[in-house]
Amino acid sequence: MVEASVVPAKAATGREQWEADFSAQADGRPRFNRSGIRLQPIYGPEDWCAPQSFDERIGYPGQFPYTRGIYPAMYRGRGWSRRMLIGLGTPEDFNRRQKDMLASGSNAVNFIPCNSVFRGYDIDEVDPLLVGTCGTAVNTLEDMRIAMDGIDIAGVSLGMNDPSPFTLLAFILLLAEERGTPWSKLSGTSNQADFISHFVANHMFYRLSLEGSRRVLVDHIRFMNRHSPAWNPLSIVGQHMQQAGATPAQAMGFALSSAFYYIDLCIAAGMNIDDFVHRFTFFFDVSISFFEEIAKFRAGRRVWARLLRERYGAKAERSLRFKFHAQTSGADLTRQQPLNNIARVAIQGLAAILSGMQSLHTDAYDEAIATPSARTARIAIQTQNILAEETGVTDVIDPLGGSWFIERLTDQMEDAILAVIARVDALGGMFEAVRQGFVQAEIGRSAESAQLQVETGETTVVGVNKYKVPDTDDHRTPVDRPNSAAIDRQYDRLARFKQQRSQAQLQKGLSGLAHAANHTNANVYEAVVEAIRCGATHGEVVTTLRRELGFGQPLNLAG
Amino acid sequence: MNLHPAPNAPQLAPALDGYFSEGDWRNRLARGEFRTLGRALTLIENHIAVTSDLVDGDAGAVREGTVIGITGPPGAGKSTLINALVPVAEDCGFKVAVLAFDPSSRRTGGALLGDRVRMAAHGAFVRSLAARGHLGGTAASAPEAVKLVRRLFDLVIVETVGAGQSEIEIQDIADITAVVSIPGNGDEVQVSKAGILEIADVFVVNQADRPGADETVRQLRAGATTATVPILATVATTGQGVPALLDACLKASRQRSDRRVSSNAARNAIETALAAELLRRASRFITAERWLEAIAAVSNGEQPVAAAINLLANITTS
Amino acid sequence: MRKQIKVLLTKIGLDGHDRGFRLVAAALRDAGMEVLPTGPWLKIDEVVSIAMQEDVEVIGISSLSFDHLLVPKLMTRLRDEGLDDVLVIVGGIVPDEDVGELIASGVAEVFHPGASLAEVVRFIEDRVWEKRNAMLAKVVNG
Repeated sequence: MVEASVVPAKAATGREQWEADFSAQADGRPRFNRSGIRLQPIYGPEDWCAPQSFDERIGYPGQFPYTRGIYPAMYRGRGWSRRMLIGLGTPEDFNRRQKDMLASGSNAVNFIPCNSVFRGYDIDEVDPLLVGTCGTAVNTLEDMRIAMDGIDIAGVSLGMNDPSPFTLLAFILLLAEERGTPWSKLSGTSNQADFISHFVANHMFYRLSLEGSRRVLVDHIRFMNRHSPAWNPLSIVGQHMQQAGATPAQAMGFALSSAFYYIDLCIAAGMNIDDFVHRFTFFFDVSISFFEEIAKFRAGRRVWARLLRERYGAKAERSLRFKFHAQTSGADLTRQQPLNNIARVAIQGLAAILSGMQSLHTDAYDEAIATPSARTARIAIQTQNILAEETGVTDVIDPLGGSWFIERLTDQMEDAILAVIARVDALGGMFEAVRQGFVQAEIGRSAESAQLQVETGETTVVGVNKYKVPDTDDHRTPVDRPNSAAIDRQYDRLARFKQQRSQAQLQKGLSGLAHAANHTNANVYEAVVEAIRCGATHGEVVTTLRRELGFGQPLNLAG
Repeated sequence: MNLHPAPNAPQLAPALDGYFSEGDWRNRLARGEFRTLGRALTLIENHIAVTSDLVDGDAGAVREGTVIGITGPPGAGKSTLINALVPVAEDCGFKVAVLAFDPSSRRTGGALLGDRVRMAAHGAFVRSLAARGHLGGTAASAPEAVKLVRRLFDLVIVETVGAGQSEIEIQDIADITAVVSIPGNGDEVQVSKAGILEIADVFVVNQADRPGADETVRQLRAGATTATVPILATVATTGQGVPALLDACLKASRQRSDRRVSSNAARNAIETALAAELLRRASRFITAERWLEAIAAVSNGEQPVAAAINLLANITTS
Repeated sequence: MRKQIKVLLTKIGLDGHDRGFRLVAAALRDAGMEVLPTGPWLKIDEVVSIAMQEDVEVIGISSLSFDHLLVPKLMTRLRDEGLDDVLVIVGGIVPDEDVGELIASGVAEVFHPGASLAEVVRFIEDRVWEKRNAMLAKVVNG
């Protein structure tokens, strides 16, 4: 802001006049975004103008530092993957819904298995009440064959939400073999390979011990890079952090710090940075804090490109591109008046597009409280279709670039992100920061602060603390449940599978797996694929590796 | 002060019968049944009863359990270590109980009782107790709680936070005290835990797989007060070193020698125990009706708390 | 006279999120309660056993992802073990149509997203003191 006393007396400038008029009318309340950055009422050339070092700081899309986008043509060349999460009931249920989605504009797979699978069990190890409620129950190659029946697994990008030891991907690999599809033709992502984020913020996914997860991840990266060069074996999940309450800047800072940890692991294992890091990808929440999210991602791209060069001496262009999948944030959705969530998702989706993501899932309006039905899922994909094809926002790359506000905010978000990275560095890196509880404590503080702001009304949540209406049946959404007869059949199917396979083969596969786990020069993931080829189920593979490599427990910070 | 029973005060014994609801609660307690023991410890924790109210001299076999105190700064891995110790002790045939003490918030009076990963594999009795304003590392009810529990179990492990000069009363409660630390730089070991170091019968360097473990052990061996005390290295998460630790503790408890207590510690111990005892005796002589009257008067705003308790206290001294 | 209110906060079933769980634990502690938070994935038997050993007055279940479907089984076990006096509340994501069954099984209240922490604290305090006063009155009136 220009101070009046500094300027020699003359007619007030437009800015000065505006400041005086503004003060007279404004409510005087300061505004902050979720990352704690104070927002001015207006931004002009004084706040940001194209810097001397335009090429260094901004550049053009597809050019270092990629602030405006990682590819030269962005959506004018190729649209993002409309990658809708699907997970419910039996493999047949998945197959039906996936085909429905593919016909409705979705063009990529985003597979969510049942919670029992996340916990590393086959369905015969858990209470049937919990099977198929929030994801698809897949325990065997046969199940995956049914789930993917009639779907060209080499023709769509496959997002597999499955943590170490990545058995579901192993099913896909073997299915590809059956279909005569070379592994090199598969593309997609191991979406839940980031065990640090599970340690911190979503314990459900944490199957193996820390050391076990580390070992299997490195072997998995090596294996996939060799056999399936178009596959991303690691997605670093900022989404878990933000869902747990991290601010957008924290989520980006912690995710980038996690990425550095994984890079260090691979380098320690003898890999060359330019050979593997281009296959690291990211997965983030997009909240309804519209401009903040756009600035967060623009800053994230810039920080990644710069630090990859500075810290690791990465040379290849492809190493410097920050690729990410975005999911509209469920934490912004409300149970009250659920139809309002359609508006929220549209705005979050728009923010994601203007952020330049490579892949997007838009939530159904009941996503936060139930597994979406076919009807609500269709509204969600249509929302993306409308944004992509009716609004014209994809006609111009990084349309908000050059905005004084957006460029200034991008710089400020960058500072905030770098500050988080610096604090993690000071503690010895992401792993140490998590082990000492620093990351969890920071996230917890942000969560508490956000909760307090909602409870005091400082933050408005429409329908929850403002514009409330009585809770009548109109506002309730019916909940889809798995068909219990179908679930029973799934149990029978599993029992038959176990009975019909060769016990000798199975033992060979599982003992081979145990052997690989105990020998550091063996590739555990290769042994996982082999064990499944020998007829092992998902639960049997996980049990074997838990026994040999350790059972993952949430980090106990007390005492 | 002249304390004798008020004419219409309920006698404690029938009140206990009403409280426990199971007719044979004394037998259940003597057997160490978890539900009954849990409720008995609540009475002790709230200074309503003591061990002699709850157990008869000849009801069931009385064990004389060994009490091992495990103390050390937060983050040392005490809980994980105890979780590793328990199955080892049970395999040796011990019936085990764990009493774990956590600090209370001075501001709110509340507490977060440490998130203890409880393994289903072991059958030990585990009870958490908050300090409730008591300084010294345990709680005012600790001596009585230990007294009850050691009659019922072969091995009682008492976990407390011990990080400074004053959190040392564990040594008065336990037969032997194990001080747990983790690898750190040498200055920290010697300086920050002065006081704690003096009470250790056994030292444990946990997380011994971390760098610096050997150095920490070396420094403890070289220290003036610590040189003669057994020092063990453990990795609680894997169980490494834990059987040796149990052995060392049991051996040390057999070789227990008389320990002098500072007069400060003695005074603190007497004051704390006296306050608890007086509260317990006073509670007996105040009828339930008087309690309810006082509660109603304060909550209706008719009386401030100070006046209400004055009335109650006068009852006990008249 | 029992002093602090002791609350067991736990998760049964398969879910592993703990954002709300941690907020509730802190709020209860700040309200002067003694809170015993467990990790996730406890079996029903474990919950019952801890409740007995710790002699808690309240059990709070954090439930996402349909884990609440297991709660009626927990309520039955609590009754079997003579623990029906314990106040049980459920918080998290529970479809409206399932609330009735939970209440019928003995759950005192279900807290949905949007409930304030202050509400949860008040509910626990009111109910626990109601029970304590009732018990005391029983002793007085014989």
